[in-house]
Amino acid sequence: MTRIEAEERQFSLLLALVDTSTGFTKHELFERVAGYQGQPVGDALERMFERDKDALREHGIVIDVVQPPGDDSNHEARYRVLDGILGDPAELQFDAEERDLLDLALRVWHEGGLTEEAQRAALKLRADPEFRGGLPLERTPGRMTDHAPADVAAPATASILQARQRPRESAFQALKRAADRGREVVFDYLKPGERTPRARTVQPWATVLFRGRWMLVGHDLGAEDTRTFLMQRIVSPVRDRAPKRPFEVPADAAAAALAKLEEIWAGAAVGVHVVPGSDADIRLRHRRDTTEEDGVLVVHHADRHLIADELAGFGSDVSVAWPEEQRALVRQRLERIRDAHADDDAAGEQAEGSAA
Amino acid sequence: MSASRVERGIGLLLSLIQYVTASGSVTVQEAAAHFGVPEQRIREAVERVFMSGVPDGAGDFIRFDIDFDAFEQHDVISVTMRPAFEDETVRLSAREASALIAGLTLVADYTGADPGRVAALREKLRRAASQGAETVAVDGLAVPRTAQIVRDAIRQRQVLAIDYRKPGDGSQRRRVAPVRLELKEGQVYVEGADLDRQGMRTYRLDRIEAIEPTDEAWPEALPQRERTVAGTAQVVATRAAAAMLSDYATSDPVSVDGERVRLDIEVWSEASVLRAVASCGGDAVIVAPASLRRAMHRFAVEALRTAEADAAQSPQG
Repeated sequence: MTRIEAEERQFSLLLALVDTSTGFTKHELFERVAGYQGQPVGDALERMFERDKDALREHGIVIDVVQPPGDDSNHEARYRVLDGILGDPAELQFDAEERDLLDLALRVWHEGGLTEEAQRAALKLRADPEFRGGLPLERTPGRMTDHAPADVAAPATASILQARQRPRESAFQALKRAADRGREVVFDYLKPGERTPRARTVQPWATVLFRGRWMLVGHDLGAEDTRTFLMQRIVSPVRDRAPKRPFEVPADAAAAALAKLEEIWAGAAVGVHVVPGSDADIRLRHRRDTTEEDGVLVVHHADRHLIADELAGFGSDVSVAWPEEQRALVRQRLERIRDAHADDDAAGEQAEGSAA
Repeated sequence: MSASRVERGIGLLLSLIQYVTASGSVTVQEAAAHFGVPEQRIREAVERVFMSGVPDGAGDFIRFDIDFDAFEQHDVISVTMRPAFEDETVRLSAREASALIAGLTLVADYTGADPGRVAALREKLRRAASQGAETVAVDGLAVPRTAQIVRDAIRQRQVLAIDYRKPGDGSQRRRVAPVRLELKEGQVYVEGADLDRQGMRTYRLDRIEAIEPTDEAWPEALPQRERTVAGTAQVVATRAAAAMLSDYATSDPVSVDGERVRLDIEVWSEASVLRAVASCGGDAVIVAPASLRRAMHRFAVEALRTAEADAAQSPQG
């Protein structure tokens, strides 16, 4: 089976499905679609049909199955393209200013988790001869190719800002595919502040980018509640499996998760002393929502362990003024760093450190 | 996954039908340039489309048709018959629309576009998408005044004077010809030519203390981008910490004991590497070189000393 044949067959399947308002039974499709015609009906043909449906889904073409009432057998089920998949080509036409903005919006995903979607979207938008923007189709995500600063005559908006949001590519793709197909995912997760990863089973809902970090939002079957997971901390391959019962993704899952994170951020703060003029001073002052009260910088965050990691990274440029718990978290990290880097020939420094 | 999957699927066939129809007639060369694929890929797609059709119920097909002579002899594509997709097309999938809307949210404020226009475009995209939950959400970026100045300077080709502080260094004034803003892990970077050092450099926006446009002439040629790397360090880290350091990695992580991996990272500046490793909160350990390992130890000892001194002074203790 070459890809050429598959492409032709899938296109033929799509044309058949687009042409019918009432739908076709599987048997009718097997008789009518070029590529199915003449093949023996059996498991091989069934699997081919399933693969083709999946392939169409990648393009946003969802095939709906209508089961006649009272009939549980698969024979009379009718297949058709889900309502709302097809629309007026004019909906995808944009004026010059809109095209510029879309070009820029697509190029944000130049590298990172949404590259494939952005390329697919660009392909659809290029049906309009006026639209030339978006990502080149033949770029491999993660490789920088369009670095040509020497010939920037009059940079278009698109070249001004370039995004490199790099989630762990493989986990991200696996999570999105599972979400599309309504499947549950199983992965090992290293929760911030914990030392050992734990297996989680999650019904994936949405992905959220918050303060530069990609997160998965979903229903955690172990916790029996909505949970947000940092993609960077998914430490195993993502496996997927059929759910015991089909699950619905709340329509506002992504937006609701983002709102929740904003709420946590607004409510969580650490007071820190910084060495004036230090790297910590400049960067923490520039951090979103940072304020100063009586010589203490009030720094907002979404997770006490993550901010503890960040503060540990500033070393002696920063010390936690409050709360005590946060101070302890940073201290624990620095002690671990100290102990993990203590050698025999550093013994003198170690003694010095503990004496201080 | 790879980008080539995108152009191999039926997406190109669908888009090509609309594109050729809207254009009236195009050459294979024009279509290849428009879609950014090899000409042969366009020819294949054309042949595939025009061998396909809609089943007529009697086991035969009503087929797409083109001016075949023009195609064969002059490489010109012109559609004469469309049994499907005459006045409809496949809309954006929820994921595609999400990528567009999220990208727009991230960058809209950097473009200086009218917020009303942006909001209207976002709505238009939502309408152009097939139903389905919006599966991606992003928080918009705050656009500090500094970023606006850089943006305008890039457009107007103005050289900037920047007061910049490198970690472990004092503040320095630099003359920079900015070429782009780069967004990475929630941080914005300015890429530009440092006119004093004659090299391409990247600056963290949040380390810029002061910035102003100058009257200096834009350089005739921009220098090549190069990165001076002092050496590499070997690090053993948890998988999550290794992911945080992956931007600096020069080797793929190798498993050492199931939970931890070994990787090499670039040492572009000792202070920056110590900070990056310390930001892993103890989940990353420098194994070699010994000097850097000792420096990491010293870094932690000094930070702990500062914290203790501060705690002793603090009334809230």
